[in-house]
Amino acid sequence: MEQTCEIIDMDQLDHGRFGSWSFSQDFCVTCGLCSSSCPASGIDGFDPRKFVRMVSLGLEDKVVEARWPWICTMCAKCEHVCPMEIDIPAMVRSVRGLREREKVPGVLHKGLAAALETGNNLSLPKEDFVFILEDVAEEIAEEPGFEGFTVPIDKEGANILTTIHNKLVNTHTEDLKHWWKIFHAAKEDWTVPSDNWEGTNWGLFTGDDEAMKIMAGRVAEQMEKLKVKNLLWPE
Amino acid sequence: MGNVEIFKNLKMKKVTPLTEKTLVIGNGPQARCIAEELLAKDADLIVASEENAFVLPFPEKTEILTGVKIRSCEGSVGNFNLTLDKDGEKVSRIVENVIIAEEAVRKPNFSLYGLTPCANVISLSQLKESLSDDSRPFFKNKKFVFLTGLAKESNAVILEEIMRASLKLQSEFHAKTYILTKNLKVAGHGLELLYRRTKEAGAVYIKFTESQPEIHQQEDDGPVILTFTDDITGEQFRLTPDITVADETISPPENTSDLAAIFGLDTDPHGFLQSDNVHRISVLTNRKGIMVAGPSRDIQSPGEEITDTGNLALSIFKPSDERETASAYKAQINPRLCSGCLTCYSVCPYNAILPDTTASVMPDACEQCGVCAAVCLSRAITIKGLTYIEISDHIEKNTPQKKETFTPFLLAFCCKRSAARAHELASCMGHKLPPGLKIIEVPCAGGVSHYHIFLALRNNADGVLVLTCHEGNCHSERGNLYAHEQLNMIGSFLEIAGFEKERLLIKPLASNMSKEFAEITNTFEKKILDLGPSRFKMKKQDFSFLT
Amino acid sequence: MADKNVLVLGGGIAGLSAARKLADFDIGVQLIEKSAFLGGHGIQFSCKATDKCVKCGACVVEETLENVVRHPKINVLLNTQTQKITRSDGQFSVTLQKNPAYIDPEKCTGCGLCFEKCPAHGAISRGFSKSNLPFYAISEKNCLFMKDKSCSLCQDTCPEEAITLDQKRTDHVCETDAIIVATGFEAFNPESKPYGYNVFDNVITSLELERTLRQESIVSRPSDNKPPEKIAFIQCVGSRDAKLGHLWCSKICCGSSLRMAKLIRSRQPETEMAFFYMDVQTFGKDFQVFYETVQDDIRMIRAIPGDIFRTETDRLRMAFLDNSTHEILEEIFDLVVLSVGITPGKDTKELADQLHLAVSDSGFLSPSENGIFTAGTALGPMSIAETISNAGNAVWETLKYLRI
Repeated sequence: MEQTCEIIDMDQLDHGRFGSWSFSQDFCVTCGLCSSSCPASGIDGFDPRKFVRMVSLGLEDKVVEARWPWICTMCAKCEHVCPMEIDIPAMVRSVRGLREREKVPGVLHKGLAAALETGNNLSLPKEDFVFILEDVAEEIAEEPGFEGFTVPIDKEGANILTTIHNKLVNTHTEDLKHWWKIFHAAKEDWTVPSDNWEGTNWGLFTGDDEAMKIMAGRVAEQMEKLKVKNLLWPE
Repeated sequence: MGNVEIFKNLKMKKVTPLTEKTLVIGNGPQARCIAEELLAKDADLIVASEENAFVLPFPEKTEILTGVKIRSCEGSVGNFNLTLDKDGEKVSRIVENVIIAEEAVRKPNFSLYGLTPCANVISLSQLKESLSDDSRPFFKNKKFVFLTGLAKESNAVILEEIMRASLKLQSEFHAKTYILTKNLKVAGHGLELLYRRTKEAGAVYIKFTESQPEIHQQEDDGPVILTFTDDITGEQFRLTPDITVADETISPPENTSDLAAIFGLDTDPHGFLQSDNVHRISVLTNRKGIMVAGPSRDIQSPGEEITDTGNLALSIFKPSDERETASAYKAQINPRLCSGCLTCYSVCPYNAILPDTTASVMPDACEQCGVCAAVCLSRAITIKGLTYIEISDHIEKNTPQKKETFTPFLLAFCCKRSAARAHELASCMGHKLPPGLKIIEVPCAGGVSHYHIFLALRNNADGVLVLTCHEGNCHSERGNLYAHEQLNMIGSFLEIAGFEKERLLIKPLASNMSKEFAEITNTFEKKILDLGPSRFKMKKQDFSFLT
Repeated sequence: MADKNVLVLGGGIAGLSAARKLADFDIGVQLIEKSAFLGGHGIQFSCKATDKCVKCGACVVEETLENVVRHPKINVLLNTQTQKITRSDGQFSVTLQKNPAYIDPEKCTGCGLCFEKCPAHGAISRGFSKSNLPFYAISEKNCLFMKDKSCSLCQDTCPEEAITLDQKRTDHVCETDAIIVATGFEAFNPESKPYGYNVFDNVITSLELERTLRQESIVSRPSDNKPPEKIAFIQCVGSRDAKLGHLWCSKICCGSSLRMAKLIRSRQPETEMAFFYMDVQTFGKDFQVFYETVQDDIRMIRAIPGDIFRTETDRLRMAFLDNSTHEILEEIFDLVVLSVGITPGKDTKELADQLHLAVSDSGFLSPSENGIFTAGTALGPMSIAETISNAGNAVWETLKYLRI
């Protein structure tokens, strides 16, 4: 547990910003079920109940500066078990959003900046992206039962548009195959856009609503452009 | 043939109450609530209040004695003879029933928190009073700290008051409230909801588990500063309230111990006028015809006070046929044998003995537990069903035939409220019981005397069990404890005489403990099997003193 | 005052107390119980006295039940439910549907032969008290005769000829002057909680522990009948829970569980026990002293644990937040007791519609008057003592209404 010598004047705490949040944080009965269930409890001496309590008391600086909200995986187990229906993941996101963008943990901050600039977190050029996909498709086509398999990039009027997680075109290309084989076997009419294909939305994770909107908007744009009605967003 | 013959010739007096009046003792809302309810059903009431005023809607329907103090109460249900002091004069009244319904006393816990009361350190009652006063600009935008249940455990009644006060302060005065406690006592009707509402309105709760807040009051009337570590965040905080509100301990009314002595009532560990005993649920006492209600009997919320009124009314208006039919079974004292030692008077749990040169029993008050008969050295007291003749006959009838292999003959004196019922249940449940076990059902284990034990031993019982209610569960309050004393004493005598005291066993047992009944009796049988047949010998003539 | 009749719905401690008190005023009572046994939840409770009585009130239920079944003014109808209630001129006409008892209480001696011989699991159940008359009941759900008439072993072997399996449901109409609704509560079913109830044998409810202690006197693990070395009590399961719409404290669970823990401690002193809680509620007049001694015997942990997992050796592992170190601790127990809350009875709504009673936001009945009165935990959580008082007050209201 962190021990601080500083004594905080409880009645001087600013409840203004947190007070306007409607995540029911003030209804916490401090039962501890969230913390007992959370896989990230105890890291950095933090846990969901402590997090909720700090928000409820208005300990804004401390909670915004803390590393823990960035460690939380937002798995929502806490929310699932909370008897008072406190939306803890949403609170975590909101707290992340309060951080100065420059202080957002490096990978996320850079990745998001890259995504906003280039359409994906890796700044992967379009040609490279298409090359990788086609390469993987060729590998599939060599397998028995998948003869002639190709990847339908930018197919207009397809039934499903699927986004791609950047790691699948980086370190985990093998994982693309499972999806595609299923599509093939199911005779699905699907497509991948060659622009703005990024599935991860780090605007969501960093609490950056603006960025989240932009990223989500781009996916929608692609769907309109290719006249696809259904989205498969395997995030 | 002794006592029984004599009693056959004693005419039982048929008792009818001399009066149907009920005396209500109390000054506050509880007494008024009861009086109004009973008057609505045309009860014949006397109200006795220590205060100088007691207002009732129909004062002409009842006698209201104000500014009186109860001095003494003699007699029993149906015929309580009371002496009261009014302006230095003695007043006498005879009533059928007595209801005690005083108001509780609130003691602020300032000292428990190291606080001295002043303008900014007040008690919960003071705050409530101020809040009931309409205009209190002083409270506007102030910071309040409530201290509750920190030094000792509190209760739902206090928490409800705190939460209501907090809500009012928040909604009407835009005050900021902090509630510091250990265990939040939400076990009351609607309190979880109220808790939520106060939080919604901005109340901050700080719950302590191991630690306590440090409370500093700068001078006797100075500002209060609280520092503490919050359990959940681990952060250290400081609070500097404008007003600190200390919770209160709810105690019995001030005159309670006097009333307990005057009426011969058992009290609970806090001094409330009702022992902590399930047989007193809900408004009963150890004395028939004397009921206690509301704050006189326990810490209560206002809802419970109304409930008590209904239960009191039931007791008052209940048809009284029971008393006449059962009177033949009451304790009877043979005046020719009574030495006037009044041991019976001192042990009777129900105050049913009228002390005089010789003692006599007030049959209406007697609950036939037999405690008096068990302690009477002159053997002057008998109770139908418990006389030595009857018990002796019963044992003789139940003595098993001697078998070739040793089957211990075990006699168990079982309280009719507990162990006798457990025995029945054990049979129902099909538990295996010792074949030589015989049951003697007694009204209370306290009625088992050394004579009964010797009768059992003389009749070749290899082991004697006395099975009582648990301590604190005896209808006769202490009958089970008397039984313990009795049996231990006999055991030590027998030991001196070279007899195994292990042949005597006393155990508590509840009515629903069938498995335990089987376990106790089977273990006892095993013990007796190890000891072998009893060597206790007593010639019939040695027992002549019993008959 | 004679010739008045009152219908009491529910044979738990509230209904029993009400019936008894009404009968004391010479009022004829029809006591309706939907199950096969009188006594409700309370009759299943264990006496929790160690060397001293702890005032749990279980024995009072036993005593009240005995008084009721012996009372000449009380007529008990088991396996019975209300169908329709009409009211005219201050008189209620109630249509009752009575399922047959199959066992004649007059003839049954409680020998238990039927229980022993019955080949269908759960088809014959046993009562809790010797005042449960008859002491055995036949469950239509499991009985083979009810299924396909393939077995009548109990009927054939009963030495008293007390069993008649071929019986039909009957309707009765009961005229009554007033009604007391004392239909009690439903214990929360904790299957939806992350504790593996009904998945792991050794996760039980507090109610099941009550029954075990009552019948077996000691506690053992359902999976292997071995005495548990470590027991965890988890409080507030289904109480103080906005998500379930249960914004109430069930009031009785702290007292019930801590008293049972003390009882286990006195009978099986080797057992280690932990009590996971939010706030310990005050119960009993002797609470301060009781609470202090409890803390010596039982580990009090102020946190509600998360998921329970079964270990390879069939023990139960769970994690909880340690309040003082803010670390997550994992601990292994042999038995977990879920202190399940008091919730409104399943048929509360239906009954309320029949009787035109109001139901509060919480789903419990609202107090009512004017001919139909309410008592006990149908109104919300109450202890046994409170329930008895509450029923007494309902009887008083009834008497006033009947102008007695």
